[in-house]
Amino acid sequence: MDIIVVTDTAVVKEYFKPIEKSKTYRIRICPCANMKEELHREVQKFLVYVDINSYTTEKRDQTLKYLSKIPSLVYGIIDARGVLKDTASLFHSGASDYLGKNMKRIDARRLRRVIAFASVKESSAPEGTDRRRLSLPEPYISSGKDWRGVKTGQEYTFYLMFAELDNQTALKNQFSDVQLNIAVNKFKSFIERMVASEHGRIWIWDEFGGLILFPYSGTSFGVVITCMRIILSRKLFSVEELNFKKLVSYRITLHIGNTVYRQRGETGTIISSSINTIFHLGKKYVKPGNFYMTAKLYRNLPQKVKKIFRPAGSFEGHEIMRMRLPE
Amino acid sequence: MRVSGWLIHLTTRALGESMDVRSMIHLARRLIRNYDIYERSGFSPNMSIPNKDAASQIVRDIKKDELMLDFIILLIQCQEAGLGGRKYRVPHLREIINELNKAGLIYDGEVKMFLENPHVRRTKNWGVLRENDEYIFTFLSLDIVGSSAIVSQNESEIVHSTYDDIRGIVQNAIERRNGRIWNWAGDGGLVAFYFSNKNSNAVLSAMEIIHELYLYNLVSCRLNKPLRIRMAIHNGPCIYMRNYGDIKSDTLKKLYEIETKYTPPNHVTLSNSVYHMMNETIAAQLTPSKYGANTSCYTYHLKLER
Repeated sequence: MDIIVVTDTAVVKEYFKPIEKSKTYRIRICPCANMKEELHREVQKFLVYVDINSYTTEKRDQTLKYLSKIPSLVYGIIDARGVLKDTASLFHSGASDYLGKNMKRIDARRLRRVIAFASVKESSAPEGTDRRRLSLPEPYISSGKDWRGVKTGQEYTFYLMFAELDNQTALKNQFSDVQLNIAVNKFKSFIERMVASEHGRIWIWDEFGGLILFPYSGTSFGVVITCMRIILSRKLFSVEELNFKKLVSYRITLHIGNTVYRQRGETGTIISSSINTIFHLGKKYVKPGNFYMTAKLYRNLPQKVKKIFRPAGSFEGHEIMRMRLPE
Repeated sequence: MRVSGWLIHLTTRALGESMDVRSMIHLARRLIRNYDIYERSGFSPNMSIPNKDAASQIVRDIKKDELMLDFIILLIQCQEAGLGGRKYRVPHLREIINELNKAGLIYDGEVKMFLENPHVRRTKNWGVLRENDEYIFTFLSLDIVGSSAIVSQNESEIVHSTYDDIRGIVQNAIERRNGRIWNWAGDGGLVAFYFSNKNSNAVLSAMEIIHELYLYNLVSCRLNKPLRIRMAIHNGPCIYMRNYGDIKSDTLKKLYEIETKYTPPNHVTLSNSVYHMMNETIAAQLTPSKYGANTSCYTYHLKLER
């Protein structure tokens, strides 16, 4: 995990010396002037410490306000000179750690506590507070960054992706059963290959598509990028793998939610509102060739990525966003 | 290519057991002009050479002239299509092909050539092209737009890692389609495609690079502005040289002209000759170029709906 330290003073780097050689944490120093850029660029899970003494009084307030507005950002404040009077208000506005003038060393144990605190805070934020902070599923049960920690029969939070070929009646009329079977298998392999980088796994596969699960461990939005890549690759897939005379069309839906995990093929008895939502959304609401996702995910995206999406109404109580398609 | 003793043994047996000496000589003359087995073996012309000795001599000479792969391809063709109107049953062919597979070469029946197995190694000449021989290639050139400004306006570490990322994107897209990077100069390079579907493979690689660059700019680019590239694709003859600097080719001149004069940023421009080799599904994705007053080129770029 990356620890980004926003500071203009060299001495602050010394506070992180105990974790310099850690394999779990990687310290990156970022000048104050580049903070906004750095926070918006990050794809991976990270924790940020901001040295508030590097700012002028006016800039200090602006920075604190800015940090409090970034959804799901886990951040701590370094205040070596103790200039902030109301430190509790930092926590009210979303901070997860505070290093005052008597606290000048951070070790791995403290970081683990900060991350645990941030997770609890995310999952127990009361109604009526900043809505964007409620974007994580409740309760948040990390399934880890890959599948190693996922056990059968236990409930976890997953990214849920539904992908299915469109125009199924036309496909059935146009191709023989054998040809169609080959095409569907190629689509399945294509999806499998594309989701592999984010540890996605096909969990349920129906005739023309299915449900893919991705482990969820934090704020990474790589899964959204994977779905965008699948949409952008439609032309390449049609030409290279299917060799159809027309471009094939498929639709994708992405949602986040909790479900009990069972091995593939043993999913018949699972009752999960998230699974229902993703199937209903994918089967009934998404227009052919599109990628839709629920606003829960959209809210956590960086501004640049948000610009690629447009509102697409609401479905079963979920606000839906639609990716702008290639012309 | 290093030829093992076992491969020589197998090839000699395959040749000796499949045809008479006259046919063997005929086969050898396809690769070595005016091949004279009597002169090479020391047998008197009025003596008949035993099959085994003739085969052994021919394979030795073929190996000496570094023509083993071509000779084995001829043997495969003798069995599949025949030689002089007659088909031969060539024994040990499967074992010969297996031996070459172990050396990292696979037989492509479509182009009738041995190609290097990309899972084993990837060389600039696909393990088979000969220096100074002319081939018809499809080339893809790529250039990062405004590289000088990027270098002057960003930290050197960021520039280097960004350029490495771009090379990674290019490499990933072209190697999946059997392309080879012939030259890379930090801010761009040249990719060659030679084998089956080389034109489509070059165009599809370029399309993938454009898509990946779009996503890269969205989430990973650390430069102060989004990175932009230009790409051009053209096909034509070119003499293969190991050293890129020694290559003199009108095809490459034309390619660079298309890239610099007729290609706007974040577009790929195809020459007319490449466009006409596209199947209709890919051709439908391309539009006539309006850039640089050139009407014979076609372009592709990624544009999202408003």
